Amino acid sequence: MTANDQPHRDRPDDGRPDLPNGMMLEVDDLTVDFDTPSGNLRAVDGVTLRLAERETLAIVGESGSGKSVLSRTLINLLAGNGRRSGSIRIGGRDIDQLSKAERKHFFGVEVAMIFQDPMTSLNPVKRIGVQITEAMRYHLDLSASAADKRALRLLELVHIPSPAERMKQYPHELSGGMRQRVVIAMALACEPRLLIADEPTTALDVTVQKTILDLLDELRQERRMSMILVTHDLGVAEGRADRIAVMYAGRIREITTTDRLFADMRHPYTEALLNSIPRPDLPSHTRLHPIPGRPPNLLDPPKGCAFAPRCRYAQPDCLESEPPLDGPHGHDWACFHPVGTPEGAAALAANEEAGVTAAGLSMSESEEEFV
Amino acid sequence: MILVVLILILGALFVLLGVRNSWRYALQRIGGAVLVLILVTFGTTVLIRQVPGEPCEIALGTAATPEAVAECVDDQGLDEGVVAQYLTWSQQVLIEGDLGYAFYKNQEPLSETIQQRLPRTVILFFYSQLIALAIAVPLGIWAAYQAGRPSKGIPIWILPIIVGGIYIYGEFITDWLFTSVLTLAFLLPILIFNLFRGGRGGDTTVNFLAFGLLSLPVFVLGVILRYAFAEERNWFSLAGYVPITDNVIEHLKSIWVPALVLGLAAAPVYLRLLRADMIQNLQQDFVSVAKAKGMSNTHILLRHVLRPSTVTLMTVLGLNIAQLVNGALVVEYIFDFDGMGSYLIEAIYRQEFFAVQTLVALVAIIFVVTNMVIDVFYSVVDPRVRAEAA
Repeated sequence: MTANDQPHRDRPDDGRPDLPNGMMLEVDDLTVDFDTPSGNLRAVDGVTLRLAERETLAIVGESGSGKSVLSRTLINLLAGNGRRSGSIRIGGRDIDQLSKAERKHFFGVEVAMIFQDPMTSLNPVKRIGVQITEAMRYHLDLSASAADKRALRLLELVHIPSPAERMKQYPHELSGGMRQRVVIAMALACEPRLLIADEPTTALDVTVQKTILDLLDELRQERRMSMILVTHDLGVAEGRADRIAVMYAGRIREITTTDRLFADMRHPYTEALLNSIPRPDLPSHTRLHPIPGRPPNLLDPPKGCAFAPRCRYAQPDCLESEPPLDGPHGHDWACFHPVGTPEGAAALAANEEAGVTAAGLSMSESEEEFV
Repeated sequence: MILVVLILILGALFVLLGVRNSWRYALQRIGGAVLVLILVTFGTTVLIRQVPGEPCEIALGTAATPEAVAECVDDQGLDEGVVAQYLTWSQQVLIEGDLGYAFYKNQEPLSETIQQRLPRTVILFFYSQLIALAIAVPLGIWAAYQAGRPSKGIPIWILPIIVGGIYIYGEFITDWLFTSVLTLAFLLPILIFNLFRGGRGGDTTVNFLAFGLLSLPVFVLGVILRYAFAEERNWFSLAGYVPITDNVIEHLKSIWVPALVLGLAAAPVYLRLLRADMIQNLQQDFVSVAKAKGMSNTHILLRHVLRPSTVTLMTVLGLNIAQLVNGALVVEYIFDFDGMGSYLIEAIYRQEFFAVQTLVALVAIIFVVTNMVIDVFYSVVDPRVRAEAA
């Protein structure tokens, strides 16, 4: 497929090379460490990812699972005390091998990001128009009038009414939903091929959430973009992602297509996550099962599988070594006793028999705690 | 009459900026200003009369006859009550705008003295603030930027050890010039290296310098610089103020050292305020967004973070401008600079009641007007203020 097959695209350097092996993003063994006053914190631990062109990958996990750090690392937004190892290739190009000149116009152009809170994502003292056009003028060297024209088209694209007036307004004059549309327009300004959306709808109310997610879907298909959707909400991921990666304590625990993940999950954490959210396909008044305990302290991670202390399947071997992420047919999981397998069933039966898991978690649900 | 014009001007300005309830806001501000003016001048009138001494005797000199003194007291109304005196004075000065004389039958009208001296103080202050901002703004931005990066610099606690070492050893060195050069030879490379390559160490270095400057009193700095530039060398002229229209070089020669002293005194304060606000704003999400857009650090610092970070700086700058006479007092005295500050000291010594009252009124007006201008600037800097004001 050549660039000319995409009539709606008006990227100025549309002649950029096709992606080698169709992979938009290749992350290999990515590890991110932070120096903190209380020691080294490993926020992302050996993540390996592949994202094909036009694909949407959802990264799902609790707060502190490393999903935000991972996504921010992909766009070179690591805090000053952070260190990264492992390689990241975006559009076939290793971001560590970029020359200084290439690097200057790489982030924000090839890859763009949408942030969680539209109320704080926009500079309060700059007009909307300036904030949308500044990246185009900097990266694409457009004139002020050309950039203004493109910004108007972008605002139309994200369905903002009377865009010409909005351009002259300040962020505080717009509602949250409108602001997030502006943030999206800003991210799309330089026609990125990879869009990272870090909890793009978390700060918005539910009615606006759907329209924003629909908008992202529409833009992604129209513009041949790949997307990483970071969310803590499996429900959001289910409807929007081709594949889902479940993260826990800095590692990917299970990754597969969306359908397979919901139909045939393997990792006990995925199962626990799913049991803890309300689902429309279950009868009403179905009891939800919160995940017992807390995420591990990443300053002092436990030996073995990080989920073992909270896992109903935990066996002695889980406390000894970290299970590798592996599996057949593009369905990888990191568990010795996966859900829906004889090993898993045996582990669960053994634990129920004993009344307690190998990590010491009681198998009887302490419900009064949550009443 | 003047009040109505002021309210109209201010109101029109607010309307132009889109402030809500512009006219009511303008009325409030002007009303408040008038109240401040009355309170301050009345307070001064009462207080200055508590100073022991007889102003008429001072004005007429030791040779004056008791009759002449009595005539002076009667003529100036000093035998009346304070309130009556205040009303007479405010009627003449504040309402009719006739400043009169400094005191009884003084040589020249007060308006001429002010006309001659106020511009000098204003220019002195203008240069000093220019110097202060020229130092504080770049260093403040730089320090805030460096504060968020890992430290690579030479630890700053080495500096006092080096300086201390040199001065202990300096017991044996009688040549102070050699000692100073030796100190600088050690200090400067460390400071410069830290400033430019130090990461967070650069921030520490800027703070170190700022606190050093801050703890140096104006009069110490003034005396040292007067000695260095006016007495050792002829780089500064003590011969008196030269207007810029006469000769630019001579003008600068007659003003730059006091301006530098005032500037160096204000710079560390501005630097610290700007740095603190910048650091706070650099944590904001919109900075992450700008970084994710791939904007350069320079662009983010100057175009995104600087403007919203100037609010505190502007407030303090406004307060400083407003008390320019106070600020210039010591420095004008040290450098024999014939400005408003030195004149106010003289007027108090000579117990020239009316001069003091009028000067205080003038200072109060400058104070109030500057702060009003600063308030208008808030809304220029931050569009959200326009919607919230009043």
